[in-house]
Amino acid sequence: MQPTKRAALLLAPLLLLLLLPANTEARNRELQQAMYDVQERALSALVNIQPITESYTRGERRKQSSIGSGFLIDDQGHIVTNYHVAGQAKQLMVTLSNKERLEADLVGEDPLTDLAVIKIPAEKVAEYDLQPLSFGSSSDLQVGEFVMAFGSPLALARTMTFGIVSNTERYLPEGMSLPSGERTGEFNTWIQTDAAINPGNSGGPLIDLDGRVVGVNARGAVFADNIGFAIPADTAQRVVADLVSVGEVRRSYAGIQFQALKDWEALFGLEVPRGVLIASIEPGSPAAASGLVAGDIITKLGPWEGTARFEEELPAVYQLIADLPIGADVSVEAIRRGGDETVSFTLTTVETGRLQGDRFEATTWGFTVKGITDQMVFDFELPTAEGVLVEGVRTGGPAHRGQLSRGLIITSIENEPIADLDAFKARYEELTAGDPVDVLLTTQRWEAFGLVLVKPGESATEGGSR
Amino acid sequence: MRPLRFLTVLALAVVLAAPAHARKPKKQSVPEFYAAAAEVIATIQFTQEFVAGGARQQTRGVTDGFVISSDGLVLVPGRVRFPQRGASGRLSGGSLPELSGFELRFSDGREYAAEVVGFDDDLNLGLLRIVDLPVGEAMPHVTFRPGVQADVGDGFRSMTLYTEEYGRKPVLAPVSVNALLEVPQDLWSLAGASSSILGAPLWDERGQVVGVVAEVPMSPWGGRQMVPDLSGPVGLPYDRFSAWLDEAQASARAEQQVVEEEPDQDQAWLGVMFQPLDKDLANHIGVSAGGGIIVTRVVPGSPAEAAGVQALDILVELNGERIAVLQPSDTTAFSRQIRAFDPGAVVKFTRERTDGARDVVPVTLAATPTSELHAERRTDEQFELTVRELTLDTLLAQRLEPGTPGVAVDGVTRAGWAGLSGVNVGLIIQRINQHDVTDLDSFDAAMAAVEEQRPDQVLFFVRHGRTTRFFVAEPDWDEVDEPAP
Repeated sequence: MQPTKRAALLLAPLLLLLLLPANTEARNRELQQAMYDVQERALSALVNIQPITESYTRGERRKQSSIGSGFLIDDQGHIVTNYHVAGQAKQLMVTLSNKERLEADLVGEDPLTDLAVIKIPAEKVAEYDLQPLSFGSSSDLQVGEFVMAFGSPLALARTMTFGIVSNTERYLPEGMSLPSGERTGEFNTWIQTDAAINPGNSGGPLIDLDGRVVGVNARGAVFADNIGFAIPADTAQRVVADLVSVGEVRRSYAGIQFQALKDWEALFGLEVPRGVLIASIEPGSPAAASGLVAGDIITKLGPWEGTARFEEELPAVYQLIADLPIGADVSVEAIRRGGDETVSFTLTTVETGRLQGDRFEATTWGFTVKGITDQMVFDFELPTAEGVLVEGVRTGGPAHRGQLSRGLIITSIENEPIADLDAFKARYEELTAGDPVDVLLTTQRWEAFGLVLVKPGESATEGGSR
Repeated sequence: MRPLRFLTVLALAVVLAAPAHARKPKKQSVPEFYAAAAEVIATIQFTQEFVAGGARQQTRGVTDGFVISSDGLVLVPGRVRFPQRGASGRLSGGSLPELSGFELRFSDGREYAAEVVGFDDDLNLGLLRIVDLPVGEAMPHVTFRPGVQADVGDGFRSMTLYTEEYGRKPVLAPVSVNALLEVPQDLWSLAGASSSILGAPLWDERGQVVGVVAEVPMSPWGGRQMVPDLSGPVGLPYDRFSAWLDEAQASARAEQQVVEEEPDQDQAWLGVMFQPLDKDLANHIGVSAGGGIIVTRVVPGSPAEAAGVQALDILVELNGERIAVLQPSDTTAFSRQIRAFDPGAVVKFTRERTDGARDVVPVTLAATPTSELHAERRTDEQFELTVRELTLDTLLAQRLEPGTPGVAVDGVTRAGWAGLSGVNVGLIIQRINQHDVTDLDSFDAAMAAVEEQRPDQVLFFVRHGRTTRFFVAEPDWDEVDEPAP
């Protein structure tokens, strides 16, 4: 070996050692610069949202204020946030990053994915030169990838936090519900991040180093540190597109609960794992009508064929059902216990529709009610969609004294059947127009009926701290 | 003159007693309060399971609770702390329905077992029922005072108990309101409250309970409260949870009635649920006042159903005698009256309509169906699983039709084969591997077949109400062959 070469070989590690700090420094600077770039873009689109919502759960209409986050997605002024921030808001104020306050309108909401879109005037976007953010893809996100969260944690506006993607497909168990009562979260797995997510971050963007929105921050684990969850951009993008264009997301409902097949194939008579296992069928649902039963393994659903061995694969299956054409016949093939052959079924879904009905305060009587939607009949196992559901009873009020309680369905007033919320309102207006009169409510809870006498004229002993 | 004097005393007693209800209770001195409060507050131990190092483990935890009714209902926090982890001040995250093995201990040495009968996630409160209260024993309990609007500076009394080692001595804990919180909503921030009095009542100076020491109800939803975690107990005013508590008590008692109805074959059964016909209701709907029952539900397959009794029928007489049910407290007497008949006896109810018309409904009473309490049970030692026959009360509670096949899980060892699969108390097993389970005998047959075949996986198909699910146990058969340690 020539001396120069030998010297070079000996020197090489030394050189590396010398270069290393410089390299790291350069890389750090690069990362730092990327973060500066991201924050510049993100802050321009970031808004702090102050919604005024209404709560009816305590037997009267009460205004509630809260704080959440959101981000601008186009020059029309559309802003993405969570349903649990802006959904059902009666009034929405947003504060832009330049600290200007504006009123916003609710464009559309989707409790099933906990997303909502609100809007500020397009002129304001131009006037303040706001730069909208665009969605990236959440499917190519990697564990360990740097992400930044933006929002108003604990109402501290324009806060940026930094971390990594901790998990790209976190499965959170089914049966989650929103504070307002709707079920949610069944159509997506979640991006888990250690970028700090606190109350008030809800609706804010989770952004990668390229400045693309990869998730919508939605939840934090309460008794934990640095465990936050974001709705993946792929889910959000779809829903937001529908909310912007038609103001709602329409979905098929079949009434099937699935379960991961795991390594249980032999127990279901399969040689290799395939298909998706039906855990439960909602009585009276389209699936029940199709003849499918719990334990059937769906191998083909319309054009779809696939397998769901793990829980993380279930949200995609629920999405598949939701995407079926509403009201159209879909052929389903399933393997039934004890048979080798698949059996064919025809599934005709219905529209999921609204998860909750409108609410109304019967002030004189001291309680609040909400209309019953078809989906509530399934979700809360109600007998029918007839009547109205008692949402809250005011402490010490006439209905409270008459032993009315939350969760009862009012089926008639003074022996006149109440079909829906409009009928209830009409009857309420009629019976409270003059001097207070006593009213007899017929109530139902599941299979049991009852009578409740409400005496609004009786001298009130109303207490309750307000 | 003696009888007259006795009558005078009686009359005086009545006069004195009558307005006592309406009058405000007297102020309590601290010693009076200390003695009275000590009777209603209990240390509650419970078992909680958690996963650590990939293994399920159990730990015992402690919280405070207090008796709210003579029949042994106990109000407790919904989420409870591990004393073992107390240093970090963190909540275990375990909520009441996940806990088991409740044991109540009072300062005077009374000890009872309890079960969960109510839970509210929003309020973060739960309701327990003492299950081994001797018949006829009435528990000392608190009285609530609604409508209290506290001001900053108001003082309340609270109490907890020292640990076992210190003889469970009652600890007086005065607290005062140092802020009124409107967010999340109507809470009292308390000076002097620590996590050691979590679950304790807040008494006013007259010995009435105006609220409870609770954790701020938190939700896993980031955006819900949108306030910093107060990280400490606060006062939850009674008005905040009174509606829930009324409902939880009512439903606990409704369940209890079914359980209480001794399933002795000697006791008669009518098969209706009902509410009292109070004076106001009677007057309003135009039936005769004086008591009666409004049928709220006719149990499928019951004598009442066979006799044509329907929901919302108003029954005012039993065998020609007025049914003296005018308020909720009268209902147990009526139930007792029915049970006292011989099964097979024919009783005549007078039904009254709102137009004043009456008819007589003869009902042939049947024997009381077996209840959960007296249901037959079987245990599988290998799977550490106890099941019981499906009884009418279980089926009604889960809103299932009489005749639904299966057996109800009555007990399961968490770390046993069945328990590890997720099979839990209250579920109804309807299939084990390919064997349909319709009753105890078919359960035994299925388990016998499984234990003979010794498969690696055992499939349980279970139901709870309208929902079904699969659980798979993975038995370690080698364990069976090993000699006992």
